[in-house]
Amino acid sequence: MASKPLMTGLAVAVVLLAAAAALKIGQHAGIIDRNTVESAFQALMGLMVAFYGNLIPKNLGRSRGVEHDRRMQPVLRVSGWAFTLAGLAYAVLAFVQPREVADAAGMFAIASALAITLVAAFRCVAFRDAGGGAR
Amino acid sequence: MNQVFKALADPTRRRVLELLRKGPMSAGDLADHFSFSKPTMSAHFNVLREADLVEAHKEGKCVIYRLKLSVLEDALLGFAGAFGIRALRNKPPTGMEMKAWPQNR
Repeated sequence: MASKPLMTGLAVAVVLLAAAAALKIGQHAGIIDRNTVESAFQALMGLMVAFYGNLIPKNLGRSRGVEHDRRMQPVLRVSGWAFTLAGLAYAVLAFVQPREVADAAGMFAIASALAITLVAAFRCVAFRDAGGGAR
Repeated sequence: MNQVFKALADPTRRRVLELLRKGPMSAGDLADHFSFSKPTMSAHFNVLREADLVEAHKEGKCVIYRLKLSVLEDALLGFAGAFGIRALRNKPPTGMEMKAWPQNR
């Protein structure tokens, strides 16, 4: 039996493909213009990032001791919040800003989330190396 | 989602989640922060576990609880705490929830 994350991933992929196909069909039928199709797809990608960001703190993995888990918890929480907010920003920007601005600002939001995650991870490692994680 | 709202509606369970924000804690350490009996605390832990808001694993003789909140659940916990959302009714724990304390500890 397939695992829950795999099934969730497949469901998200099916939704994305179906939405992309529907948008393309709508464009060919002349119902929606190309710019709207691109914005809608960018919004979908942003929502997908937000969806997976929302789940980051739930992926605890196997426990490797109380001290390790204590250090990891804020990293997961910070990265989850960063990617959720960045994904939502990416999605909203697609509709409220001109195309060029939305692209640049959206990528900046995602890059910022990645940078925040890396900083949190480095701080976690530095704390361990400084002896903060000694059991 | 209904289970999540039920779990977050109770101030004791919200307090447990706030304590776990500092890091994983054993069932005994968590219970020390409250004046409730151990079976009552055990029932609260079970509600949180069924809502998938905490994860429990054994380390030696202790059961260690870890926070398992998604970003949305984290935000809901913040809102519930900020606006003091309380349970509409305080029904006693069911038989399933009233697991014996030594098994949980």
